[in-house]
Amino acid sequence: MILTPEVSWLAILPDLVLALGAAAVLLVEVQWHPVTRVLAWVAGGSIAIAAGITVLQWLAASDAVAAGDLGSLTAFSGMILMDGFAIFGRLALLATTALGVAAGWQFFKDLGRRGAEGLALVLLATTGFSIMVASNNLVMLFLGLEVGSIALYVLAGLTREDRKADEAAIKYFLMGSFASAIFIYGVALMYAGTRQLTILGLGDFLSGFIVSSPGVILIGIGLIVVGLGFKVSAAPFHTWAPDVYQGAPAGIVGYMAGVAKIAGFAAISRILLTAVDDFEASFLPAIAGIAVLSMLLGSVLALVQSDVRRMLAYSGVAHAGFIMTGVVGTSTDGILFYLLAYAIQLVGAFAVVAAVSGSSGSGSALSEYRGLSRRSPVLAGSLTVLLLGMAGLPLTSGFVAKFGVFADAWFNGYEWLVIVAVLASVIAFAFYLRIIVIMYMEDDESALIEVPGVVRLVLGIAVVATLVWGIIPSSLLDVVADALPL
Amino acid sequence: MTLADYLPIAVMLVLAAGFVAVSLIASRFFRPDRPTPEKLDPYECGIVPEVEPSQRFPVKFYLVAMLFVIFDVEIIFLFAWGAIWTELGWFGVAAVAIFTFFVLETLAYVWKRGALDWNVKRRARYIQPDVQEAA
Amino acid sequence: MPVEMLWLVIALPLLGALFLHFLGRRIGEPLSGWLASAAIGTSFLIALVAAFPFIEGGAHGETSLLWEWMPAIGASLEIQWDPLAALMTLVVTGVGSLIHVFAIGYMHGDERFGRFFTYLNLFAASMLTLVLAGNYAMLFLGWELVGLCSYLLIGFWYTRPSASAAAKKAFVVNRIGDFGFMIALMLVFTSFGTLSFAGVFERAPEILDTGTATAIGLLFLVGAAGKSAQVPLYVWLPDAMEGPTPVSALIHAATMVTAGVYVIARSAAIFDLAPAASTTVATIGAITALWAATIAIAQRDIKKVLAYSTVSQLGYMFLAVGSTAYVAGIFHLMTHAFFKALLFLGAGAVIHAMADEQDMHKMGGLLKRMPTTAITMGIATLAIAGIPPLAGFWSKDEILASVFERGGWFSVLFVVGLITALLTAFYMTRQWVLVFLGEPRWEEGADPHKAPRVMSVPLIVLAVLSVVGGLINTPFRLTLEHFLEPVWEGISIQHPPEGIGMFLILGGLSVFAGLVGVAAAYMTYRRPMESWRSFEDGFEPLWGAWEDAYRVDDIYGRTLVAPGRKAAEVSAFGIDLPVIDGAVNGVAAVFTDLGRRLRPLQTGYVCNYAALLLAGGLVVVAWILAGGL
Repeated sequence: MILTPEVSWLAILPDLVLALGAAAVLLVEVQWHPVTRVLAWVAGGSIAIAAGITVLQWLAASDAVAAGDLGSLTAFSGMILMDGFAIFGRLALLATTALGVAAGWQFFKDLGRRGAEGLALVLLATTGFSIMVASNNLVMLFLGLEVGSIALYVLAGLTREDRKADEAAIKYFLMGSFASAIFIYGVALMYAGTRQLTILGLGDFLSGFIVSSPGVILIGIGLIVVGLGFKVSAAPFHTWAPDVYQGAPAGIVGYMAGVAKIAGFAAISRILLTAVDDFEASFLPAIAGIAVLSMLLGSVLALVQSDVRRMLAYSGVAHAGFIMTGVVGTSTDGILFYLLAYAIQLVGAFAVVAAVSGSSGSGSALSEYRGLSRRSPVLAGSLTVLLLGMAGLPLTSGFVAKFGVFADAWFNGYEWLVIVAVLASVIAFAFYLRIIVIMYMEDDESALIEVPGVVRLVLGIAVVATLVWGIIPSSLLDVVADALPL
Repeated sequence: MTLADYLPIAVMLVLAAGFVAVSLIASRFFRPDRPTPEKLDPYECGIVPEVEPSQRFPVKFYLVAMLFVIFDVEIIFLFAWGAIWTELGWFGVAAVAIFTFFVLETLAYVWKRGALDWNVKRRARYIQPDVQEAA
Repeated sequence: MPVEMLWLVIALPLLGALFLHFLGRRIGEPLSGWLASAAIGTSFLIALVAAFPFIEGGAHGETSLLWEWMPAIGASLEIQWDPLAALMTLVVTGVGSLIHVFAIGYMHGDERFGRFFTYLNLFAASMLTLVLAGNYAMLFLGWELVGLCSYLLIGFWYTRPSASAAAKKAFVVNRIGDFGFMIALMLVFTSFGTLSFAGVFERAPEILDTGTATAIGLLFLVGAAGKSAQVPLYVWLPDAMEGPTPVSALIHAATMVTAGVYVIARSAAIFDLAPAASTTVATIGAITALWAATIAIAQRDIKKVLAYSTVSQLGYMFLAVGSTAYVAGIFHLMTHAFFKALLFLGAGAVIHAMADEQDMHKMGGLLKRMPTTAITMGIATLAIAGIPPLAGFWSKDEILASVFERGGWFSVLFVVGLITALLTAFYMTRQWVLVFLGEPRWEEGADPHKAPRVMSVPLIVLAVLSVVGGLINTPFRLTLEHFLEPVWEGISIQHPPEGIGMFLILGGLSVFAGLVGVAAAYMTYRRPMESWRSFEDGFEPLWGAWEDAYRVDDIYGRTLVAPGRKAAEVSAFGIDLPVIDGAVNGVAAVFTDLGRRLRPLQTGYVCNYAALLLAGGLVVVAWILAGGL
């Protein structure tokens, strides 16, 4: 007799709704050939329903925690988790997706009949990453990772006529497969060393037993870090990022980068901080090393870019380093705050890039931002706020986020890392300011830029989020404080 | 897991390699050796190729091949489920139903998009932005 | 005026900036300038009314919480209104208003007139945020914002390449300072668990050990040295003169550059526990004072003289606060704001009249053409030279006397200060004589004209302040001292020696130094050009070194900037081939070229990427393995 796992529909319903949404988008398109707007409503509807269910999950989970019933936070025989961490991660993914789809609206519209494919891929990618943040099993996690990543590879190359996009997609795919292989090899070694595949099981095993020869496990941890480090574009696994950020359609890059970072870092923190936390003394120095390299390399290289997208890519590398600092701080709430704040800023920033250079266009040289404040005050103003947020100016969410992860790392005994991190933020400030100055100081008599209403909406939300979480940080800090992993 | 547990695998590897080596060496001693050009050609079924195959295949071959693989894999999953479906009960039915739905949905989509249409010109109709949408 | 209303002081210029940002172009010249001046002028009046309780004496500092931002870390929008904040606010808004009015005349005809006043008002709001902050987080916000505004205003005439370069330089150098400042804040937070002034200063003695206090103090010094242009981070300030002259007067003389002095004075409770840090501050200040004074002697550019003079005078202030003579430091900060703003505005009027000529060798004999400017600048020159009873004498004398009283190592610093006083008198007189006396050496076609009323009135007001401003704190009547006393309750402060006898000796010494400087310069530069040229040549090669500012820029360029740039380029080339402009004619060219060579190029790159991934991965795995075995 085979024991079938108990079914908890609530745990997988958001993912199911997203997947069904993807199917619906495709089927509606081939059957009725509606205008893209209809498809967007279908996609948006499924995102909204999934978000609604996720909120229900949040309520159920807080009830369960309050009642001390931690068992109900796992589902499907411990395959899927429904803890605060997973639920918050999923909400962050859904928020990024909703904003990303809206920001890329022009892109989907320009794709014409293929817009449906783009929307379906977005939904599928989010499904995959959503499974990834909620899975308790390393193989399950890998499955989610691959579903999400493969959808992203295809999204990167969706504008098939654009050579740069093709190149970006192929590079992303090749490197991504390489990294995935490394990751799964790490999982295999973890299993070899512990006979455990679940994250909770690993945690129990490692704290319950003294491992006589931890070599295999340590190599496994290392390979998992490398594989996931690639997804979040931490140095030295970041090489794909500039090419992909630059080549992939501008309308969708913000989304791609945002969800990949959220899911990747959720997985890194969950594995490192709850499964193998007994080896912290061994791996934290290496994580700190990755953080240092990412922050410094990202900031310095961003400084010499003459293309906004490449600059944002390298700034993304630097941000990966900052979030790694939070991992070194071993506190998940700082990481979650940073992830959500940054993902939304990123989506907003790329919405501006897309508006300036056209939805699928790839010209994004710094010189095109000359005098943007004249050509479109809305775009320039929003980008200013978002960049200052990324730079971590006080009264923006970026400051609170940086402060949180720095303080965690400091109190965890990594003062030197914080000093390097501050140095990197100081350098990073320079290139954000460079764009701002170009937008405001240099006049350009070229034509005004029309900003579609939906992009205004996205920018409005991103700017408000950046400011509100910066001015009233408790509005988000209180939430992430509850979003603890099991 | 100790190294000793891997011993059967190692023995298996040695045996396999040994079998190949022994049969190749043994046949050299016992067979007659009278080569002709035809005999030296690599063995292939079907007719003997007369020209080199062209460098590029039409993309539709790949498309069909890929779709074939997808449905092939689906059958493998269904086969495993079918073998023990009574034991899995309704859980299994639900899981397979969800799975099959997505495969069928894929089929419906590729069908309607014309991916199964062998005729290039007719297939193009599905892909090009159609006239009534622009109007 | 209750302290709860003080947010208006910040809000008015901020609103002015916002208003002008959106409507500045429509309102046009000169109304937008008057609006901006009215905004900051009203702030001044509010601050003046609010400061009355302190002037009457007996009132204690109050804080007013505007907004709980991150209460957990003691970071809120919170105004601290105590005598120190009041004095700083009055200087910023008072001198600021005058400079605003002056700028209406100075910026006349500039096509970005409205934009200029937007920035100016924004700067005022930021600076007021800095001085009114009740905790380090808000202070940091102001600190960053004034830096940003300074950057925008230095590069205001961005079409001049030198202006953009100067802005960039100011930004980079200030980043070094900010780095120190941010680490200091991190240390404060991790030591105290809060950033609020009240929480930090009260508990400082019980929480901080000498080591931590010294570390925090030295890191504050790094930050302050960047913002206040001290050795070795002063190099950005002379270049910052590329900005419009009112900017130089407001930001780079009277207000922003004194933020470092303010921060040290504000953090006196921490420096009280770290005598070594204080001594370092004083030493840096003394070195800066002398170093910049020697450079100022040989400058030809009228604004460069003032720039180096500002660096030198800021050194005096550091010397004062480093000797824990906080009152003297703040006193000099105030008087310096008067006469240095006056000097800059006067220089601006001269430059304006000479059709943007800044070379003093091409001036001379302007006394008759612009008497108001000449006389007011003359007063400022005597004030900065330390001639009694002008403002500069009292504040400078108090600094020197306090440093002398400290004794020991500080006696050396006193001598340095005295030499600097002599040099100061010399180079300032040299400037005045070169500009206003002697034969006209104008370029052909120059027709200097009188400054318009809107420019000359601020000059006169500042001249009056430069004359009487020092009288608020004389050894005979220590008004300012009593005014500021409550700020540093419980902290040991260095006072000048008691008694009229010592005052007469030390004062006499510094007056003597000043008079010698003034007389020497007057006698040298009063004579025809050939004569003083040969005098200057007599000092070769020293004079050349001074004129080239010791070639510090070159040295920095060769030893710091070039290797840094090289490193960035090397890493960019090594790791990220298709990046840099010019190298391969930009990214565009690489990708256009890709058409033909798409495949080989691409596989090449991916191979490199994969190799790096593999190598990096191996290092990470090895590192973790090494950490665990």
